[in-house]
Amino acid sequence: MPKISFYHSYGKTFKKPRRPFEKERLDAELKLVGEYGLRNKRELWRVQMVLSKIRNAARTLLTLEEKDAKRMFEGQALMRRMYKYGLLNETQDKLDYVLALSPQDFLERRLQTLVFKQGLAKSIHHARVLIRQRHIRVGKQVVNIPSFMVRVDSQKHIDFALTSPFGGGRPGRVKRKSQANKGGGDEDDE
Amino acid sequence: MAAALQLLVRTPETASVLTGLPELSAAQSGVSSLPAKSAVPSPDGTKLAAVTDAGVDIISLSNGAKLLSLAVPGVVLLDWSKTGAFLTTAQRPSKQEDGQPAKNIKAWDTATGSVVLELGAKSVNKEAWPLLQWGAGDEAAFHGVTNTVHQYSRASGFKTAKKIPIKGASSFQPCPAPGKQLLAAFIAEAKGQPAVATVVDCSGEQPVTISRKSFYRATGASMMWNAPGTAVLFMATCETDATNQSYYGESKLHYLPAEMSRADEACAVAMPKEGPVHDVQWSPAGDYFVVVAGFMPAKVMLLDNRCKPVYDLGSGPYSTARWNPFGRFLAIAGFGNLPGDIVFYNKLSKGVCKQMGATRSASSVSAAWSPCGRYFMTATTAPRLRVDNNVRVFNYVGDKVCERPFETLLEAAWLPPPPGTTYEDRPASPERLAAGGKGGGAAAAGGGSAAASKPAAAYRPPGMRSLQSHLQAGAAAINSGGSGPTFSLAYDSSSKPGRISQSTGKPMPPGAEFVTKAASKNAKKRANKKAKAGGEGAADGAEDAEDEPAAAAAGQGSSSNAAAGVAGVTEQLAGASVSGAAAAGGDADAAQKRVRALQKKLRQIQQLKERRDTEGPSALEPEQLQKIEAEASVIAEIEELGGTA
Repeated sequence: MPKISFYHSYGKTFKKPRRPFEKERLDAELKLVGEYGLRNKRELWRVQMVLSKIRNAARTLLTLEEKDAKRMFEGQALMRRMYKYGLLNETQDKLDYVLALSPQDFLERRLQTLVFKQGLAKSIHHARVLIRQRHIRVGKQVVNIPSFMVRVDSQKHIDFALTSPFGGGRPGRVKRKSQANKGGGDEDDE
Repeated sequence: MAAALQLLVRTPETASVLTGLPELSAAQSGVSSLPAKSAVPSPDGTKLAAVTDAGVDIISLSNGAKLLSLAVPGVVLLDWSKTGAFLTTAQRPSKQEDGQPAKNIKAWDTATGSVVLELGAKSVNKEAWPLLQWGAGDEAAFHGVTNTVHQYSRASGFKTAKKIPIKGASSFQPCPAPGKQLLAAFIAEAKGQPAVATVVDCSGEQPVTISRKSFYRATGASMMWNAPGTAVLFMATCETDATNQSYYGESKLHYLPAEMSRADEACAVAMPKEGPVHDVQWSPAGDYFVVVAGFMPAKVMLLDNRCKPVYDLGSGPYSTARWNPFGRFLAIAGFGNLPGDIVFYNKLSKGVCKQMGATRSASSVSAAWSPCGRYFMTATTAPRLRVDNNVRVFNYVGDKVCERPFETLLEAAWLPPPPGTTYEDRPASPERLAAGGKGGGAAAAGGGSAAASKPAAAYRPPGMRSLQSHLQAGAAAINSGGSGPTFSLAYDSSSKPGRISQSTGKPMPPGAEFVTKAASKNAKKRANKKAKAGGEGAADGAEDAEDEPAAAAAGQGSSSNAAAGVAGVTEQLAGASVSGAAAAGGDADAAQKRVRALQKKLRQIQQLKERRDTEGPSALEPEQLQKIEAEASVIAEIEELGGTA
């Protein structure tokens, strides 16, 4: 019997570009990586693959008739997901708007970008550090993942975690140690 | 009895009072004009503090007599307390002989003319003024030093200071509501720690934090309490914009509740458009606030006192908002380097705003509503603009009532009403609304259509002609009346003013809400007809029988019905029939439900009987035979409840 772990299904989340050294593509990708503070090109290619799957779905639905049951049901579900994640706003209610989405729209909805845009961090890289070091919560949940897609309802509730020194908790390990050393030193002096 | 409105205007030579609309003549009684470098009226409308070379004169506004003369040479800044009982003066900072800074901040009791409090300040500038903040009813004076706020209480004669330790507080503001000892404090960024906006209860020995919010990228903040003292708005500004979008820096708006139970409602006010916050104003009633924010054309939104967006007033070239003293009318205007459009809104209940009129007041610097709440004054004043100084007064539908030009005008402001006059909070008069709407609407439409008329004949390059660009520009550009997508820097064609609907609680499964409009209309018509028929006669078993399985299916929220559209339609039906039956009352509902259930049971018994007759008794289960025997009791119960078998 084959190993049980071979039964897990998995697939790739990114697609490498066809031409490895195309100048315009490299420049455009570098600009996005710098602007949104991504770690490597793979994070950008991952977003591009998500976008292409959504576009394919919208494209196949648009080939069906307007009142087709599958188009209506799946189209509504797709639009509802776009509204939920803030990729489209309520005035854009046609499937054509899904075809006009770009990777920037997805990158704008990452937690790392929103922490920076809302003023909780000094720079986009500072935002990534804060998220990874468990200072940021969304609602009540501490979120450790910079690529967390923030829903429109949750956007208001991004704040510092309650246990974080920035959010009113006790000071961090280094500060506590230095305060203890200072306190101990004063006692010795006395 | 409503007194005539009075306007205080200050030119380089004199400060004078003009009264009476529309003629705005010099006042006959009381203060008419006096030579003064600066004149500030007290908030209760009884006194006027005029700065002269020798000191400060306090003049009574009713008869113009000089009440007091304070010997304070070299006064730079003046501030009245909230009730007009105290006056704070600031002189230039200097050093005494022993090296201590001279006590240049003095608080005077305006009834007796004696100094009640003296403080020394190293620097006096307009941004940090007033250095002495007064609590509600002037019961306490607050003064901030590093890491502490000193509270001097009036009961103790301002002698002893209660020290409220707030580490690193750079600015604060006490709560204006009586009975609440709260302080809103802002702690600036220090050494990698974020800036903190906090509301602190200072009534006990130690300050208790009620709510708190931290953020980076803020060097200063201004605080706005609402009148009942339930919430504070912090506008945090920063000199440099980290997103590199604006040369002027950035600003963000934060909302903090002032009650411990609502402390987790602290949030950043989410504006749909990126850009600086131009203006925030609480309504004087304290239940709504209006925000003008975003890069031009800025978006204007009305939010309630729990920071939920209620109404979207659209976007346009606006930078200021002014509430009338009763919170009934709202004026949104664009001053500064904007052309000066003013739009008047009537705030109805539940936050809906209806536009009353629009006008334009070019190159204005300041604006204010009159104390009666019916007139709106704009003034063009000198240090900013040295030509075209004037004062214009409009009424609330945008008609210009009067305009008075000046050679050089330094300041213009309404005088607070004298004690004893109260103005009525009257709604907009219907005749004025009907008349003003025509005149004022033309101004706004003229501004918008000027841009629309041109592209009717304009050449559009091939890149702008495609369908994709139509989608990008927003097909709603047609609303300005142009033939195609119009382009205007001042007006955003995709902005639609209107009520902001709150998302309702129960989430629908995907696809459940896609019933076509026609189908839902027909369903509603049928349900209404049934409700009428049901109301006239007795509850019909037949129609209830149809509704019952529909109600059951909708109640389970099942999309397991054949076509998902059916779930939507039947839910509409069930909803409509429930509303029709709701008229019968609660008890009747329960009884009807029981009757319907029993009738269903009766039908099942009939079916079983038929099966028994055709196939023989052995074909049925023992429980089913028992059910047939119970038929009599079922019929009896139905008769008892008043249904028909």
